[in-house]
Amino acid sequence: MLAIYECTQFIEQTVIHAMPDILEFQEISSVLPQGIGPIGIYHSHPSLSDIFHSHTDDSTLISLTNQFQDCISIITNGQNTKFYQMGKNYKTKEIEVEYIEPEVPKFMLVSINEKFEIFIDPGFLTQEKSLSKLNIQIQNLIINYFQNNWNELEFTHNNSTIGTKDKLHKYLVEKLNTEPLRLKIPSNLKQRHRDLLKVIQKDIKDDTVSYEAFEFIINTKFPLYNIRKYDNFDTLNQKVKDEFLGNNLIQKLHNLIIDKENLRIIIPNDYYLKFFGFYIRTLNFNKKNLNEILIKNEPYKFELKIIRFLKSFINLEVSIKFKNYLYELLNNLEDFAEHFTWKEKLSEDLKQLKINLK
Amino acid sequence: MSSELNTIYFVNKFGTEKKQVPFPVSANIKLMDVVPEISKKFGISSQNVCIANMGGQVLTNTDLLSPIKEIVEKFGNTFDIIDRGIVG
Repeated sequence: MLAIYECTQFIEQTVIHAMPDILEFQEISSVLPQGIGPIGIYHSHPSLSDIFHSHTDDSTLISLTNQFQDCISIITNGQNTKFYQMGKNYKTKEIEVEYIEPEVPKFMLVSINEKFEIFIDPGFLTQEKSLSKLNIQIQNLIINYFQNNWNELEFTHNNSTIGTKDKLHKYLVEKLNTEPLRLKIPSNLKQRHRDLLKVIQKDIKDDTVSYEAFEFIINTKFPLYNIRKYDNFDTLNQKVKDEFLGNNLIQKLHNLIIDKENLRIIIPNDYYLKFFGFYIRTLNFNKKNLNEILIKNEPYKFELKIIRFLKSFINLEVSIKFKNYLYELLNNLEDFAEHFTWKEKLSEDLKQLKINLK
Repeated sequence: MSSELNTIYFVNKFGTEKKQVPFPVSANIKLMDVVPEISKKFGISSQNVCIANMGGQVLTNTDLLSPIKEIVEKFGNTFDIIDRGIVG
């Protein structure tokens, strides 16, 4: 376990019952890279001297263990803490834990840099109210394109194709600025499927329509943690697909901008923050005005949440290594805020945190 | 009735690995009708399951009663499948 992160929003919360806001869970799990994710739950049973795992907790632990077999459930009464896992025959068992400073594993870095032309029915572009429908259609089109052609894509490293028998461990790295594994669409495939990237207004293709061609560039780089010695190429391929289509590209497509004047479809870029030694990812556009209009308050709320989280370390004694992690994160947050007009609102908080965490 | 198929994709982000599962389904069927099967595939108790699109919109009961074709046009074809994580 690398970190514990607090959920602060609840749909229901009483002394005996709590239902977290799933959107907060979605937000936290979506910034985490493939290979690092939520592995359990932590909650309190306030005002009780004995710590126990309730029927409700058991039922949730069963459901979560079905999704991740090493799932843990942590319960505190404010003074003591107990740790549980699901044992045989769906019986909860208390487990012993050891506190250590975990080593953050190396990761595999994957990049995709592709340019497409997307043909849009001009009827879509003239009606303001059909723009959100158009955005969803573009999203579905791109996702389907990659889903349908995934097995034809090539992995290369330093311009050499990666073979299915290659040892994957040699590609593990520690930094984002190292040579990545590149995922490429073969040029013949791109040419062959050029006609497929059409956004049509009706269910039937109308050949008399003169489509507008929009440039669309995907340029992303993402880490994959938890690559094991025995993982083969097929496992890696699946992990890349799950991360790229299920978490990376899809989030960007949800924030796409159609620049009608310059005939471009623009998606936000990845912005990586070093979080306790591993990378987490959020999104931003290069231009401040686009960030304000399109990503709205989400990055602000995200940064605010991390600042609040960091404040909980002020009175704790931590190792030098851990302190360096906190400073690294604070520096990253300062840099990230540069892309937004709300930067000034948080600068005092960040400055104070640097002093208090010294 | 048309037998057109839509493939919808569900992403589960609990655990160290994010997993994406394609789900080919008739475009006219209601999403509600396939929720128990989807929950089963991921091992989530069906009373705990929640479906959200990537823009942070949770599908309501009314949405779940709409045909999949309409849902895909409104929310996209990829969804997060999330356990409510109720504790007590």
